[in-house]
Amino acid sequence: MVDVASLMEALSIVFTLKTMLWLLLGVAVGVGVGAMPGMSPAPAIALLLPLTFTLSLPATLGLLIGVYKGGVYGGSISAISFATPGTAESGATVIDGYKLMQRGQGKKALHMALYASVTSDFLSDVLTILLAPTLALVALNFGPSERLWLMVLAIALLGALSGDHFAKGFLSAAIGLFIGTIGSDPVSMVSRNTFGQWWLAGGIHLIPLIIGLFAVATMLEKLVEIIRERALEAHEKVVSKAGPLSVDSEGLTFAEYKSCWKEMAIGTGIGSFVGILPGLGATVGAFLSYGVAKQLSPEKKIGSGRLEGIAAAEAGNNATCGPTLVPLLAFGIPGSTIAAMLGGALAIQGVVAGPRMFELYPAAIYALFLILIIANFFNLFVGRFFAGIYAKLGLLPVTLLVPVVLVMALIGGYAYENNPFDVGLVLIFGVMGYFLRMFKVPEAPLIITFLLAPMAEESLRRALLINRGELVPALFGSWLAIVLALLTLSLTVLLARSQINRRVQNLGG
Amino acid sequence: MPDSLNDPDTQSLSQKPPEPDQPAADEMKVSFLRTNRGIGIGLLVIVGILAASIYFSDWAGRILRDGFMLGGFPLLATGFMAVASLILVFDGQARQVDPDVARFRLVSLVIVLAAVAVLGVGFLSIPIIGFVPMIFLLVGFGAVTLGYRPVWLAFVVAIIVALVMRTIMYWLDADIDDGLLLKLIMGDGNG
Repeated sequence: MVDVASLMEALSIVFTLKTMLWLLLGVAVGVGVGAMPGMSPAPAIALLLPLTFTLSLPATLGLLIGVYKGGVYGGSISAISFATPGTAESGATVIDGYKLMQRGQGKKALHMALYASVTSDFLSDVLTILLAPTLALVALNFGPSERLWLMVLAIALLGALSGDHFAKGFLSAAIGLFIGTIGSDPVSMVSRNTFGQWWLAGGIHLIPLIIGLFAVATMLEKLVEIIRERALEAHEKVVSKAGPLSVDSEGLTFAEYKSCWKEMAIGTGIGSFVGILPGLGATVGAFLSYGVAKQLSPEKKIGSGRLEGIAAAEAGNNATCGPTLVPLLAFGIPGSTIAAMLGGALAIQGVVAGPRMFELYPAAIYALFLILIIANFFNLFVGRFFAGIYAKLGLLPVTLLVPVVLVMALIGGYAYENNPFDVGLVLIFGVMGYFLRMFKVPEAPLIITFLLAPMAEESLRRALLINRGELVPALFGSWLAIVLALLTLSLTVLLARSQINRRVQNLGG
Repeated sequence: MPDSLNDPDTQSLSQKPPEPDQPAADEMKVSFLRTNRGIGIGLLVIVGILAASIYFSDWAGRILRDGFMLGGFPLLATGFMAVASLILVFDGQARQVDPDVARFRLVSLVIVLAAVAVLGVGFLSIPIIGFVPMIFLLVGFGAVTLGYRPVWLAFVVAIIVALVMRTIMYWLDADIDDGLLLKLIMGDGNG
């Protein structure tokens, strides 16, 4: 049922010049970040989070969702132009995109990537708008034990599905749980696990953690590569490979766009499903869509420089953007790092993401849905007219990028609460993130478990209180709790053994 | 594709045939420490120390009003970390070496720690040197040290970045010190 008054309120706060400008800025920054190899939407959003303190809710949503959607699409620009995916999500786009580029059909390929991205993103946003409120209605009936198992299920899925190695995903989730316990316990607010440091009594905040793990760790990785003269050589290769981007070449015709409908449909379906599941993300969405499209239509020879290949891959990655918010909005459980950051941004604005958000902040929900949809049009505009300029960003020297981003990370960590200790945390988590990356430990389970830790503890303790301290009834008090527990166990074992991420990437090859 | 790098057949250093001389023996020793098993054992030691420090702390055993032990969740988290480390030690990929771990050299750690130290010292020096000069120095010298040329362009970019960031900080109403020098020039009350 549509709440007309809230919808009107949302329309009035979204369709303002200020919100539209922030959204446009978000998309413009996002496409740029995506087009730059070595940067991705996650560190960019991490760096922009402190900026949102001074913004209104719709402006915040516009900026961050714009960066996210623009970033996922932007990766295709350098993937097609230089065979260097700006983001991991665009890895599958390189296969056909760069071959088209070499044949002088780069403009056509760039247009296909843009239109497939925007089409699938739009359709998956519609699905998100339909699905999230329906699931939220179900979630409202959950008690503390069901909520606890739902969180455990999400963590288990994240651990099992993130990265190539189950143990590393699980380790990441456990580290997140540990960091989440630093500060004070969430019920009695008694100080604990502070290593004797008074400044840790308030706990660790999301922003220093995210900036450290994403922005600083990524740049430290680049820094080491540069100094060891690997990145520099790779960069020279990119420059020599790139050649001039032919802007005068022929663009995409409507007939060509229409001929890829099947691949876009595959990408939209698979991407949406993958987006809803915690832990998989846009990279898996792209490779899985690409692999399925290739196997379903062998006569199209996807992989030999075909527009259909670009359509499948780009539809597959962008279709995850909207649905990745479904677990956050319906259950209050972020299913991806980006969703966790958006949840954090909502919290900064005083809005708690979850099923009750639909009752308590209906205008915010409508505003979010509107921005999800409008961002696609901005993406279309920016991509259609400025892709050639963004392609040059792929040539931005990493030697300049690294010190700029590191300094931005440092100051972003400080600006959050004007707390110099947060800068220390940014640097500590940066070093930790560097080693996690080196050891291929995925960051997503860490961030999400960190966010869920206090909620899980609260739910467990509430369930124990309701059941007078009896653990078994507290954990398995209803059929739903038992089903969720069994589902958690069986899915964890099954997914850990199947190593889905590795198999999916093999499909693309 | 990154996947090819993760192929167990191409990455396992521990499967190199051993050679009888001393350097090879050293390499085998180093290789074991770089395997998932070696790292798992290292992590187990760290997690063990962490768990022990929590268990024997004065706060961990405290029982709260709802009957919950204050150290319960931190200990649960260390328990999970120990289980994950044990899986690393004993699962089917225990003998694998990640390519990045194989390439890791002590110099990488030195570079990372030096960068972090420079950033930390730079940040702490802001009250003395001032926000804009410090950001200018960090970005400018950072880019030049990393090999960016021409030098003048690095410093032009650095000053632009510093001024843009100062404007953003002003806009965010962040408590930023513009340094003793500017205070001397402008008199009291700025910053």
